[in-house]
Amino acid sequence: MLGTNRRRVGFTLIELLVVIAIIAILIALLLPAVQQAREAARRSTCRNSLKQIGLALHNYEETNKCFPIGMQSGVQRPNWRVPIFPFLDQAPLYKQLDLGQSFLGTALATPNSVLSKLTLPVYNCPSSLLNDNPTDANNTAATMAPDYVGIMGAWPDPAGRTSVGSASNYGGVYASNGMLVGNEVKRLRDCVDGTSTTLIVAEQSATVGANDIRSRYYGGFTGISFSGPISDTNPNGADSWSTGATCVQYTINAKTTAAGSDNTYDANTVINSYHPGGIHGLLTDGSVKFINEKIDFLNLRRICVRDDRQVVGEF
Amino acid sequence: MNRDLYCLRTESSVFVKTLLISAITLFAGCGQGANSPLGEVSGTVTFQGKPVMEGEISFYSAAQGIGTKIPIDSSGHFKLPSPIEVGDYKVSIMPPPLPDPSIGSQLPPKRDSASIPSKYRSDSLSGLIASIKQGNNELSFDLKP
Repeated sequence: MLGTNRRRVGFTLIELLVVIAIIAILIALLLPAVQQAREAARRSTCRNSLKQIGLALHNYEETNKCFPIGMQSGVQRPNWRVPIFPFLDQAPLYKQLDLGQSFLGTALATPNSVLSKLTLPVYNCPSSLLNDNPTDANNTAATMAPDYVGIMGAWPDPAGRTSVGSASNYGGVYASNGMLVGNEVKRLRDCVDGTSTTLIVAEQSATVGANDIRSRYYGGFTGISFSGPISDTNPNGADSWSTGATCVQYTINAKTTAAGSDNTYDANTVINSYHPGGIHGLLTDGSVKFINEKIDFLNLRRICVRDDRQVVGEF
Repeated sequence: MNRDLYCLRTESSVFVKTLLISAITLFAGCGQGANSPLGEVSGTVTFQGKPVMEGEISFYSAAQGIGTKIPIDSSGHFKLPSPIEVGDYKVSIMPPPLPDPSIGSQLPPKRDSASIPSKYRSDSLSGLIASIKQGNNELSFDLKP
């Protein structure tokens, strides 16, 4: 046959195809891996920020024998995010502030105007795509919208108590069964369920549907519109709105909410994140855990409540 | 030589097949887990037989921690834009939403809507339960004074 003795030089088509296929598969394996490595680094930074917040809360507790008030009345007064500044290496900033002056994003006067357009990295999750200093009609000074929210409890109460909360006129529910509640300080002894199984701060760094409804009305550092401890008779349908803490009524990364929980001033803003599969949560003992979004919702409520005396499942 | 070439071909095709199979098995675990079944929800709200012409209907499941809401149109109809997970939902019917609160202005006007009695505005008092099943769910709620 012609050419049977000719020496073959170079590659056959098959060999070439195999090489291309191998390279393609390697690239396909590598590309997502690079993305995963970047997300892993961001997740680790986020975890570290929450750990710092946890240490700051504990240092505050050590100094004052109680945790900061979750949200103070009236609205112009600061929530828990401000009094822990000195323990977050922000002592110079804290010394500049005047706690008697307004913290509203529309009425920041000197010296509190230092908060205008200021971004504190410790309150920012690097995975979050949301604006760190959003401006709108109620936050013309662009004060920061932190990516971490206090937990004022959960609703419905896992132990079935109806005395620990009541509805807002906007439709959501305020509760006082968590660690950072409105108009009250909580101490370590109030954490009856155990500090390692009670959430105190959780991540809130993503959108609900298409909306950014982080707890940030009039900016991220303001308080609560009504006074007195939260109970079944307070606010009980009276005018009530706030910033800084949430009563958990929706599962992690919920995409939609029912009435009264879809605004930045509502009581039941959703805890969520851009990390795949869940959020970081800071427990009252200062440890940080990644909480899967598929957690049983009753179990999630139990870890948000400090005194339900229920057995907490694995999370 | 022909035979050699043939051998080479077989070997490479075996090699390619092995690569393909290993790639498929590698990526097989990457899919999303099975989601729970969903149901489409639509329906009407009436008060003493007449359509409720304003407000919004709200669904909340305390067992699953999920909820959604949708405005009621002028003929008393509503239809959720996307299907929701099956299960039992507590239903409340609210007057149109209040304007956003603001400092220094008057308290927001009280929600009022004569065709929505106050007990229906809270999901714990309304007593309305919607059992959403897979597929289409046509609901009707008749409110009583």
